[in-house]
Amino acid sequence: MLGCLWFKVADNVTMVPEASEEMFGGAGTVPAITLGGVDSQGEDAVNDLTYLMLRITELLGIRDPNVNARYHYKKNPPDYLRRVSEVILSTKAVPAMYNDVANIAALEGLGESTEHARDYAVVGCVELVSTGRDYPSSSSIMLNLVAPLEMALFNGKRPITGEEQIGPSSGDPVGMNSFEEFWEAFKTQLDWLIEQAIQLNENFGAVHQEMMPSPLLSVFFEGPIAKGRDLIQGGALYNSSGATHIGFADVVDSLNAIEKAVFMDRKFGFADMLEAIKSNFSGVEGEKMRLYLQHRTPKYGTEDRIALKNSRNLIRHLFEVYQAHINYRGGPYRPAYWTMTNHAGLGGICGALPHGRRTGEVFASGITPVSGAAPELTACLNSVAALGGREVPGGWALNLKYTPEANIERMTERFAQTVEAYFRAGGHQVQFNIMTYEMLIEAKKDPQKYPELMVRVSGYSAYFKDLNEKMKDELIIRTQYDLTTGKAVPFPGMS
Amino acid sequence: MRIALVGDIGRYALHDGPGIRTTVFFKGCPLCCPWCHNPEFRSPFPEVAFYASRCIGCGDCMPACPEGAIDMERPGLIDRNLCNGCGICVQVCPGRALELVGQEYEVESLLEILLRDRLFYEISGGGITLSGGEPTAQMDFVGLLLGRLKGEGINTAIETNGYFPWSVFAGILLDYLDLVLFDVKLADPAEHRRIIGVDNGVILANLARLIELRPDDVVVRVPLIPGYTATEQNITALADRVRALGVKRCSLLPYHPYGLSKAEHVGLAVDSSLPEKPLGPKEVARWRQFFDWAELVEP
Repeated sequence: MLGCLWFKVADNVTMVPEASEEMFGGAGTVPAITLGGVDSQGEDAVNDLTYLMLRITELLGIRDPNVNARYHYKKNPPDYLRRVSEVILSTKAVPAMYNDVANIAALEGLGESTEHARDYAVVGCVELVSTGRDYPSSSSIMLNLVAPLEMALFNGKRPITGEEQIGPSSGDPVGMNSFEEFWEAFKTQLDWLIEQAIQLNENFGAVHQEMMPSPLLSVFFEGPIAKGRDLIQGGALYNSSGATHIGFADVVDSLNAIEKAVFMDRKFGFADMLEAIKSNFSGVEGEKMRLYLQHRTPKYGTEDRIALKNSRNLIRHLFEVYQAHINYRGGPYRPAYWTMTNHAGLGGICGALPHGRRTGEVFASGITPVSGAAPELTACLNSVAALGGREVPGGWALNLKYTPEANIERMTERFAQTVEAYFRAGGHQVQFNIMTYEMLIEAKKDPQKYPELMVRVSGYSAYFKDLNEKMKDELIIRTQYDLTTGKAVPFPGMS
Repeated sequence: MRIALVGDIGRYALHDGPGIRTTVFFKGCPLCCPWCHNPEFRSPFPEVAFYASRCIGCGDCMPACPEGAIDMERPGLIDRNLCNGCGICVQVCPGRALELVGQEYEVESLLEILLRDRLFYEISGGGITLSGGEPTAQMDFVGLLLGRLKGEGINTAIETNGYFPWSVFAGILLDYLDLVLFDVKLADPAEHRRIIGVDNGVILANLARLIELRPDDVVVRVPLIPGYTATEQNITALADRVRALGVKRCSLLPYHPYGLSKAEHVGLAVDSSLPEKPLGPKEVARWRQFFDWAELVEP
């Protein structure tokens, strides 16, 4: 019966325009099912049905429903964590895992009662909502963080739009004397862009309120009846709007590279760096600079102090900017870090960046470090987990790729221990692809041979063959860690 | 000594004791085993490793070297007689083709790194393993470090070749160690001297004392090296010898050619008699029979 339900849910596929395939490639309707965790009283909510649903997920291995497993490391039994780990290793992709302790605290941080926060489910990709109480517009804003970075580098202009003045003028970086000056310029552009995005969202909201009330939907929520107010007018108990961010890791690494190579080590002048970026690191000198920036500057995903500082500062700043706003339904904005396939699509229209990324290359997904930038698994997990807390209430997607192993039993043990450590350190969410670079390269070359290869994109599952070429490449180059060594596996042909 | 030279810090180590561990590879070893699988940690000085496949041939390292030790035309790039391991070339290399092996740490700075994965140790029953090179070659520092680790409640292990002054080891290390992974290689003293450079008398005497004091906390590890240790004569004699000492737990380390390429990177000559393939499971099974009296621990 559960199997039939799973099929029925998976059956619902909407037609989408071509442009949408760039940004949300391979997605179904992504109806989410959330398992495990604790109940509203804070007690273990794992039961027989949980295990049955895990078994069905394991047996079917289909894209939808988007199955999410909550895990509370103080309340859920070790057997449950082991079973979830087994299913992930067996399906090679699902379910995604959610840290109850961190997520409940984040929801409480935005004013939800403890009981309501505990009763959260996952919607869309990785967004958290108190079931039946929160009417969340969880993807109200999808903001490309690289756009304000480019505008800070080019004084309000972007390479893709040429001479057009897009953002405010924040000063020519060539004249700047410290990294702090550049950080201020970046924040000027970022804050301006967020203001635009929020204004647009508010306008949409006003139209929505005027033209499209949702009386039927309102009946299914706590709040509208009691308040006598439609959902779209703020009738629900909670009324959040989500703002997700694309290009987080690329922006942090660019900030790191500027701070270290330009201002601390004085290895390159800002003028030379900007020239190299404009020319997409062309020529021998350009390539040397690119390699230096790629290999010799601090990286998010390591425990480098500069990288930790810049990643935390960006998370904190975004949280503070959004908290200064209330949406049209009277609820808060929740910053988030999941990207669907936006990081591939938007990467395609952005110029070269200070951390050595070439023009048009994909960005890293979700909150995941840049591919190849985080060679050690524990350092990667620690540095991502260090961002956890009340400042990411909208959810994040961390994508990890592990080498499959022959001995599933032994791998399951290490897999579960590693997730547990990451959660105890504060990580909110993690999802996996258990596959190698070579498998995915092969699947791209010969899609007929892999008709059912399911992958985690950045918050949902898709069939690899359905993805566009850029997104396939992004999945291929994602850092592959080996759980027998805790190290990144070198990309084929590299050493 | 408050400062140690460390070749590498390996996190998420699974084969150096129980659970998920961080292994510290101290630089410098008094022995000279031809099959050494960490040859880049043998010298007690910093060395520059060269990875030819990453080199883009830009030549920036050549003028940067104050010793004139780099020549783009030279196979292996670096004249090891001239190189003093200052690492200036490493700083200018854009492609990570040059890397410095050997970094100085104070106890506190090393401890800070080792404690980063504390959650992984706690959850998996892991901890810290001191390896090398030979950790007991930097005994004073290791003693201080182990004291601090024990103060933090961390499980500790050491991998040693057993060639150390007993009184110092027993005096400042042993109380802070939960596990000793003790290597023995060749039973015959003359062979030991000929191949490894020193007598095995000190090593076996140390093992005997250790077993007497801490019989349950010692794992004797025997590397299975074709042509060297993995001979019927040696394994028979070695197994008899450690059994007679009262050893309870053993571990067999099958040969792996991993050390060969690493030796090349730091310009060390490779023993051409060593095979290019790892020792197969059949061979390993054969040698395991000689240790059927012991508890065999998976490495």
